Parts: sequence; structure tokens; C-alpha cells
Amino acid sequence: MRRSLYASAGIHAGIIVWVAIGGIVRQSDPVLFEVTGVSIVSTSEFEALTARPVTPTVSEAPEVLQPTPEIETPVAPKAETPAPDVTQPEVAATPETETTPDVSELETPQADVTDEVAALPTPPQGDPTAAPSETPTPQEAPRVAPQPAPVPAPEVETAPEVVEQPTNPEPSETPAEDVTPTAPEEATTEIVTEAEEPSLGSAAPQASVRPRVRPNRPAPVVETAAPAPETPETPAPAEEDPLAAAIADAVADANTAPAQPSGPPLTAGQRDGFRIAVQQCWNVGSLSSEALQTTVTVGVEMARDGRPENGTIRLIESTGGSDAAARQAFEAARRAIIRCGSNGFDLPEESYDHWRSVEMVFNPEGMRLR
Amino acid sequence: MTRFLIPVAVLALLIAGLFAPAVAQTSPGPLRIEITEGVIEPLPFAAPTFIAENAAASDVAQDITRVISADLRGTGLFREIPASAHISTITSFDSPVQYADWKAINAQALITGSVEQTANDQLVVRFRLFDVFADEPLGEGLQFVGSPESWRRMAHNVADQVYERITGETGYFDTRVAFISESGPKNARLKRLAVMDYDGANVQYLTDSRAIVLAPRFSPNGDRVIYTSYESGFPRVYLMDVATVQRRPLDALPDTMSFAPRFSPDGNRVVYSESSGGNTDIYILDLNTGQRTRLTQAPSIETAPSFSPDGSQIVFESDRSGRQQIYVMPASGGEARRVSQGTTGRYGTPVWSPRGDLIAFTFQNAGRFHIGVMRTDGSEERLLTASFLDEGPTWAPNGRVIMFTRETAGTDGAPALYSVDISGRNLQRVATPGMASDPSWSPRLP
Repeated sequence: MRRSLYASAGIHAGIIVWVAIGGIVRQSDPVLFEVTGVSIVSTSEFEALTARPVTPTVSEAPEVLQPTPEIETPVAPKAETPAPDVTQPEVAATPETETTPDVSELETPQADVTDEVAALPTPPQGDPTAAPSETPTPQEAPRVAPQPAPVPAPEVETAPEVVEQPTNPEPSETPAEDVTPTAPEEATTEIVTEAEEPSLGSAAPQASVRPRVRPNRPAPVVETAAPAPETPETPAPAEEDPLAAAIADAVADANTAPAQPSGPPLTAGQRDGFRIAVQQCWNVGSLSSEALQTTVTVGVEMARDGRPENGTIRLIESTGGSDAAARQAFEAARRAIIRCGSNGFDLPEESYDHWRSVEMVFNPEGMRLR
Repeated sequence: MTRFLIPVAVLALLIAGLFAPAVAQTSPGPLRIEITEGVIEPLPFAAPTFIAENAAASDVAQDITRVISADLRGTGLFREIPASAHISTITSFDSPVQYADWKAINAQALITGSVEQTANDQLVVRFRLFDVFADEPLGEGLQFVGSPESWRRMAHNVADQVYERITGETGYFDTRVAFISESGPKNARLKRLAVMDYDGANVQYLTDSRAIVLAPRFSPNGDRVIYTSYESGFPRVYLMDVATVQRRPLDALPDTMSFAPRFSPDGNRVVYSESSGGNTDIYILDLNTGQRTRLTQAPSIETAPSFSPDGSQIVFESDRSGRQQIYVMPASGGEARRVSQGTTGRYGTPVWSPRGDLIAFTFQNAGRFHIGVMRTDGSEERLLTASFLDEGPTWAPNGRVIMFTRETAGTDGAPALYSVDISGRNLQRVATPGMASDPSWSPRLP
């Protein structure tokens, strides 16, 4: 009996050692995406990697954009400033503050229409893909010009009738003077993007082209473990069952590892290209200062052609702001993914398993007001 | 035997547990990328002319659309795509939106609406906002009802809603600005107290030009204005009801000058400066009881007080250190701490942001004037503008935009109102009929 006990213990120990070694061996194959691979790449190689993805700008109506250069030059203001009823109210004649009375009547945002909204035959059309109805012709709105809101020509349209007017020098010279010096940061405006040197070392395509096939360990051991109890003449002791079960479970767990994604993983350069492609459309210019302090993680499923499946874009988590701020930040992130992904991101199809599901962390820390 | 088996079993479990994570890590998780750099550019929007539900509303529908677009463009955060670029046309308020058409012209937000003039002479304005690239409405549709004369306010309300839904900030279009309207040559200026819509429309004069008036300030709910007038021959603080234009001087001791008044957040008190015997200090007056309390006792000049939004503190300027600096003290008076950190230049006219996070101020240095902002502890000071003379900042109710006076140099120099975003961007001149100075931004109208 003692002998059989030793035999049993020896066999079990063997199994344990195998599990340990097997696990260690197996550990070598998986390639973890989360790990930020730092590697060295030549500058030319890096540029080649990053330059490619930059090209696919948004443009639904590609080249035609050009014809319509500058749109703005808002002329509107003129009309708005209703020739002010500058009529000199002599002495404090109670000004008929027309607006004031209206206020009461003005039913502020009552959601009466809300119902209608619900009932709205809201945009049913499968537009996303649908081609623009009347020709994808020109009239494109060129992507915002670098300069912010060009200080509109000081068309202050002063009331002509004002008597003393003459003296006031009018806008003409004023603006010229002031605009010059003001706020240097105002000038920097828009794309405050930092230099393109983000992750210098991250570009390396690292030959992480490991053998994809997991070294399948022969399963025989499992068999040997099972018969073991039979050998002894004596009935199998009760303790052996749980022990064998535990070992069997461990082995089973080790063997039933989830299927590996097929295809090579994305290289660092490809990941950077993907990131750059998205950030080109991530416009934080209209976000509240609170939303600019909110980091959102957005999940999206991707189609094989590199297009995001818009319906799957979801907010996974947010940090740093209120729910409202998180919503604003999420909406900006969603717009970025949809806009820049409308033509498909430049991702290798053979690695589809590696990017079919993506989580993007939009961190505006570097984009806050300075 | 069991003594031997138990350790073995434990060892087996430990080993299994040890390697389980390693195995789990091999499962293919989602690709994770971090995006830290974006772009800052105005968001393109389209606002087709609102549908006129009947002929009577035809003109006003166009006017309303125009005001909404102007409001949004004026923020510098939005860019309008001109109607000539539109592919789709909106023929009915309830017709479905052709998102593809709007995507094709890169409109990221679409505003549709309708205007109807009812039989009982009411104007009904409805609108909807769409997130074009998400293929869905952004918030619910809303309806405003008012008199035809209030069409501008309804337009501003629509713009406020759009602004809020997209930026997350409170809108500031349905607001007014009190200011000093100036006329005449530089050495004989005529000044009148006036109010107007934030965009320069609907100017109304509240005083004539017989007495010099200065520094008007709106009450927290916008129904009153407090200002300084030389009506009696020397500066004195007056309180005026905007609707009735009835005014009254605040109690003051004889042979004193009172000026630089400002309301407390609850509107029941007024903090101001009083000058007597060559010394200027800060006082607070209870409008209900008439009780007057002195808050500072220094031999230096203390002036330009402004309450924090919660009413617990007062920021003001003082030259007690030898040079004009900004200080903060409890609203009940007491020890003040200096918050401006600069070692050169002079800081003045501090104003606490409605959000409570910043203090706007005027900074004079090396012959230039600047409007700047700093944290309430004096950190993160940023100068937003620079010119021959910039002064007197006032905050938009959402704490994101500052309006101020800019005056040009020379004998024919003239003051005008300008606004700037707290980022320093979008510097714009505010349309006013003639010269203007000393703006005070009202809260959102009720």
C-alpha cells in the first residue's frame, strides 16, 4: 500500500511539473497588445510608416473640395444690428424695453415638441452609405482654415443719424491697431498639435512575428494520471478523487486556452498610423472646458475593410468630468471615428483578428486651454 | 498519507492558479490605442433657412435663421456652411433628414426649424438639432412661443440650445449688456447709460447726456443697474430699475465720493468704494436695511471690489504694497491676501468669474494694457489681449467669454467694446452705435 501511495504521489508530482513547464513554454507565444513595444527604427522607416496613414483625410467628396475655397466672410452682422432705434430718448423717458415684456410670454424651452420628436419619422434612410442625392458635386465646405474666427471686418455700422457721431473715428483704424498685438495664444489658435515626435521609439515594427501555433503538448499524461488509481489492489482512497480532479482541471484549463487571433499583430507603425488617422478628426475646439478635462474610452467594432461599424461605437468609461461632460467628449470622439473612418482606416486585413475590436482612449490633457 | 497528499494538492492548486493568468492573457482582447492630440477648429454646421409655416412668418423666419447663425459663428467655435453649398433642401420641418447629403459637405451639425405666426398674433418657433455623422438627433426638438416683437430673443434661445448641446457650456446669447455710450470730441465726451442685446441690437438709452455716468453693473437677475453718476457734481452711486428707468442715489456721507459699485450674488447688497479725505476704502451697503459697513481700513487706495459667485469673498485692487495689486478678503472684511504674483506692472479691476474658477483683470505694463485671467489663488496667469488701452473686463454668464473696453491712441482715439474667449482666441469687436465703454454683461434673461 505504501508503495502504491508513493507511486501515486510520484505520478501526480510529474503531472504538476508538466503543467508548470507547459505553462511556461506556452507563455512565450502570446503577443500582448497592451504592452507598449519600444524599439528602434530608422527615421526613414518611421516616416514611411507614419506618412502613409496621414493621407486619407476625410473628404466625402474628395478632390472636388478645392473649387470652393473660402466660404466665410460673413456679411450677416450688418443686417442683424438693426438700425438701432438710436432715437435719443430725450430725458429718461421710460424706454419701452420691448424685450422685457416679451420675456414673460416667452415660454422657455418647453419640450412640447418633444413628443413630435419622438414621433418624428426621424432620419430613417440608410444614409451613411447612401450617396448624396444630387451629385456629389462641389460646394464642399473646405476643412476649416487654420485661422480661427477671422475677426470680421469691423462693420459696426454705426447709426447714421447719431448727431455727435462725427468725432468717433470709426472702426477703420481701430481694428488695425488692436488686432496686431493681442493675445499671442490667440494667434496660435487652432491646431495646437504638438510636434510630430510623439512616441519616437514606438514605431518599431518589431519582428514580433512569432510562430502563431501553440506548441500542443501531447495529452497522454492525462491518461496516465487516470489509470494510476487502478494499479493498487486496494480500493482507491477517497482523497484521490479531489486531487485528481484538481489536477485534471488544471490541465484542462491549460489546454483549453482560447483560440489565438490569426494573422500577425499590428506593428507599432501600423498602430501609430491608425492613431494618427483618428486624431486628425478629433476636434476639441468646441468642447467645454470641463469636457476638455474628461478622458473617455470608446469601444468600436471594425469591419474587415477598415471601416468602423458606427452602430457599435459606445462609451466604455470616462474619467475626470461629469456625465454631461463625458457625453460631450464622447460625441466628439464618435464624430472623429466616423468621419475619419468613413473611407476605411489603413489597417492590414491579414491582421483583422487583432483589430476587429478596438478601444480608443481619448485623452485631451494636452489639448486644454493654455 | 494525508499529510503527504494535502501539500501536493495545495501545490497543484497553486501552480494551476499561478499559470491561469498567463493563459488568460493569451485571449485576444480589443486593440487599445490612446489618442492625445487632436485639432482645434470651428465645428462646421448647416442652418437652412427655417421653414415659414405661413406667409406672415416668411420674413421673420429668415431673420431668425440669420441671428441663430450669427450667434454661433460669433463664438468662434462654429463655422457655418453657406446655403450655396447645401445639397439637400429642407422643405418641411418634419421631413426626414438626408444625412448623406449633409455629410457630403462635411456639416457636422444640422439645425432645422420652422416659424409660424398664429392667428392670435403669437410667434411659434420650433427647431431640431442633428448630429449628422451619428445619424441621429442631438437632443429633443423644442418650441418657443412669444410675441412677434420678441423674435430676436427666440432666435437667441435657439442658438443657446444648440451651443449648449454641442459644447456642454451654458449659452450666453439671450443676454444684454449695459454700457456707457459715448459721443463728442475726446476733451468733451458726452456719456449716457445704455443697454443692448449682447450682439449690439436693441440699444436703449437709460440716461441723457447731461451728467457723466460711469461703470454700470447689472444686478444678478438683470432687472436693475447700479452705476456711478456725476449728476450731483461729484461721483455718487445710483441704483436704477431697468424696466421703469426709475433711479435713486444710494445713501452716502456728505463730502464723500462713492464709485465702483457692484452687486452681491444675492442682489441684496452693494459693495463699492468710498473716498473721503484722500483715502479710498471699500464699503458694503445692505440695500434692504441701508446698513453701511466698512470692509477695509488701510491708508492706501482700495477699490474695484467684486464678489465671488458664492458671496463669501471679495476680490479688489489695492496699492498697499506700493504698487497696484489684486487681493482677496472675506466678504465680511478682514485680512486680505495678495493673489497677483507679478513683480512688474500694475493689476486692476479684478472681476470674479461666474464659474468661480478665474479672476479677470486689467494689467498695465511697459506702456501696454492687457486683459488677463488667473486662478483665484493667482496661479496660471494668462494675458489674453494687448493694446494701447484695454480695461474693465466683464464676464459672460457662462464664464467662457470676456467683454472689455479698448481705446485707441491719439487725439481722435475712441473707445469700443471687444470680446475675447478665455483661451485668448476669437477676439472680436462688439457692434455698438458709436463709441462705447464700460460694459457689464447681464445674466441669462429669465
